[in-house]
Formats: sequence, C-alpha cells, structure tokens
Amino acid sequence: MNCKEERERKTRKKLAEKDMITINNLTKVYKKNTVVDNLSLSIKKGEVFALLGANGAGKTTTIKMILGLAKVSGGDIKIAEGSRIGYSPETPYFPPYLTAMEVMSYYAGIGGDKSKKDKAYLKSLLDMTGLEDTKTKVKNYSKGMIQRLALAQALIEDPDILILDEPTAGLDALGRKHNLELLKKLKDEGKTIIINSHILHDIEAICDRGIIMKKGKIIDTWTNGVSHESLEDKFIRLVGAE
Amino acid sequence: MEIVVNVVKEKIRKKMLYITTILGILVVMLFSTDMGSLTIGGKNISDYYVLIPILINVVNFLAGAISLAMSITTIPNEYERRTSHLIWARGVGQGKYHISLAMGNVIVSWISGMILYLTLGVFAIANGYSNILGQIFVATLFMFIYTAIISVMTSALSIKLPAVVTGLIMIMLFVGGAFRSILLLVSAVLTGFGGTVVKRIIKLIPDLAGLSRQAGNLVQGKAVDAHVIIMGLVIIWIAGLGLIFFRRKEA
Repeated sequence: MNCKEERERKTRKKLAEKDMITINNLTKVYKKNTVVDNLSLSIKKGEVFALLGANGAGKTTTIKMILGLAKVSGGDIKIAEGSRIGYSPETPYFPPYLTAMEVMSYYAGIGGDKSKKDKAYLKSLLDMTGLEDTKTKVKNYSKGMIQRLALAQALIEDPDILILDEPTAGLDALGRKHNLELLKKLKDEGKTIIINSHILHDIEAICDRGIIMKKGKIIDTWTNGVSHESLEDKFIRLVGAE
Repeated sequence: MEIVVNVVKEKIRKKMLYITTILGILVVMLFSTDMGSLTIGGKNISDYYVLIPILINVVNFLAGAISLAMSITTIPNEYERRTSHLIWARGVGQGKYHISLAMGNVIVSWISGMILYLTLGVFAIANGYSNILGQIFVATLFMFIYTAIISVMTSALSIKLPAVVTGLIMIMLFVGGAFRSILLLVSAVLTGFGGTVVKRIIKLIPDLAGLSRQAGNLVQGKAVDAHVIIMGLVIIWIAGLGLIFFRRKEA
C-alpha cells in the first residue's frame, strides 16, 4: 500500500469514526412531567441507529429536540458542523391538492438551494422511493404512498443525517422491503440514519445499534448481532417488565 | 415565496372564499341597479355617483370579512397538521414562516377585494360613469390597507391564541373599526371616568371606517386625509412585528 492509499484509508476511517450527533444529559420537561430524562448518546457517521421503546417513552420528543422542533429543557445536542439533516415525520401531511412532484418542488424551494428544484433530480428521488406516479394528487394517495413521499422529501437536500420517524408504518410487505433496501443503500452511501420504529423486525434488518427507552430514560442498549436473544424478546423483557 | 404561494393555492380552493365573494358581487349588483336604492332624509338616492362611497364602504367591509375568515385558521392549521415540522426542520425561522403565511392571507384578501372592486367598476360603466374608473382603481389601494390590517392582525394573534379567541377579538376590532365613526359619535355623549375609558378604547381600534371614507372621497374628487392612511400602515407594521416576535414553543 503506497502513502497516498494509506492516507486515504486513514481519512476514511477517521470520517467513519466521526460523531455526527452527540447528546449529553438531554432532558425535556413538559409541565413538571419529565419526558426525556438525562439522555446521553453519540451516533457515528454511517451508522443506522434505532430509538426503541413503547409509546410515550420519549423517542419522538428526542427526535424533535434534535431537529430543533422542541426546546431543550436541559443538556445539549451537538451535530457535526455543516451537516444537513433530512426528516420524515411519523404522520406526514402534504397539501392534498398537490401532486408528488409539486410537493417535492415546494420543499426543494423552501430548502433554499435552487439546484435541488431540478425536476429530473426530484423525479429520481421519487423513483428511488418507489413513487413513480408523480401526477396523481396527494388526496388520492394511500398511507404507504404518503410515507414514500415523506421519505423522498427528506432526501431533497442530500442530507448527511436522516431522521426517520416510523418510516415503514402503513407500508405493505413489498413497500417495507423496498424501503428497507433503500435505507441499506443510503447507509452504504455513508448517510447516518436515526430510526424510530415499532417494527422490531425492520430494526434488526437494518440498524447497527440503538437504545431502548422507557419513561424518558435509556434502560438498555442494543447492538446488532452480539446477542443470541432476539431484539423482540429483549424488548418485551425490558419494556414489558415493570 | 413557496410558502406564500402555497397558502394562496390552498385558500383559493376554499368554498367560503367563493361564496363570500359571490355574495359581495350580488350586494354590489343590488346597489348598482334599479333594484336597490337608498332613502336618506326622504330623498331617494339611486345615482351611482352618490352611491359609490356607500358601495366602497360595503365592499371594503365584505373584503375585510373575507380577510378575517381566510386568515383565522392558516397559522393554527399549520401547527395542528404539523406541516410546521418540515418547515422548521429546514431551518426556516419562525418569523419568516409566520410572515410568509400572513402574506399568503393578505394576497388572498386582496384577490377577493379586487374581484369586488372589479364589480364596482363594471357597474360604474353600466351606469355611465366610466370617467371615475381611474378613481375606483386608485381606491383599491385603500382596500389593500383595510384588508391587510385585518389579515395581519388576525394572523399575528392566531400564533398565540386559539382560533375562537382570535376570532372573537378580531370580530370586535373589525366591526368596531368599520363603525368607528358611529362609536365616536355615541361616546361623545359619555362623560366621567367611564366615558374617558370608552373614548380611549375606541382610539385603539383601527380606523377602518376612515379608510373607506377616504376612498369614497377620492372617487368623488374630495380631499383625502393622509393621516388615516399613515395610521393604517402603522397598524400593519405593528401587527407585522407581532408576526416576528410572537413565537410558538414547539413546531
């Protein structure tokens, strides 16, 4: 291996080890109710990270704080400088009178980068998510199609970090498979992905590691492939136990 | 700009906008033809030239009502549907977001107001007064200020208050503003501490009646009081500051 290759290898390794998100003692209090309690974690570049927990565990609030959609009550969140973030919400709403292409064009315009408004580029993102019909109005879309559109709009700014809240909810088996394959592809491209999902089978299929939350606290961590116990069994054992 | 255009697109799909605008056109038609006339001091007033200041009042009032109805839910709906999530997540600040939404409301109000003024113009021609078309056109500028006051104030209040509360406050300010001259007349007979308080409160109400009166004066070639226009613009500016400084805690 020559010097140049060695240098490139080291750079790649360094980049891969780079923390994209570092959270220290993150706390969120709503009307005296602590919904996220002293959460600390770090997510490296290229990782697919899972936020797990039952409803009300504080996952979505954590995501909202990372995105700046909710104020932080305590602690801090550090995001790697210059990182672009794409977000697909749990219950996406798009103007029903717009077509998928119009929705994409709308969000591309809001993002501020005019080059992202290119129709061919936006069409490629829609194709990537399996939403080939770009002329039908959103009001005629199924839940699964809206989910795909939500994922497509999250990719507009070519984000370094992708935050997906229930990305496979509402999708049929084929749709789920397609989405999971897409997420694997995005991971291979070096994107850092944070997923909040209740479908543990999907988590096991694509995530590298994650945390299990309960009442705002991390009750355990999970790393793919290191334990004989399935994620589902672990989840039921930990979350189900009072 | 995308947000502004989207608000306009969404609003022009509302049935309420069309119903109110058509209603406005019918009212203008009623006053502008032989079907409708006013009796003031026992004299029958059906001359279009004499009627036009009254018509301007009516048209501005209708445009204001449309403006209020169209603006009241725009911002609360954005937060309720969580459309705001995808906007905030793209780094758009609250001030810019709220201003864009309010601008959309203002433009929709102007469009419906212009349709009503267009009807006025058509009936001016039909009644043989095509010579005042230029004045009617300039009078739309007063409607722009009138509806912008309602729209921006409603939008700003709706950031912090529930739609029902915003609606109640704005209906009071709107009706009070449209009939401000009458309120001032009534309050003139009030004396003592209560009277002073009432007079002060009335002074805080935007002078919408004054704006319509100035538009009427302009069409009839009378002097226009610039003070009313300046005060209208000041109110828009203050309400605009509300759009920037009123903030939601969460998207």
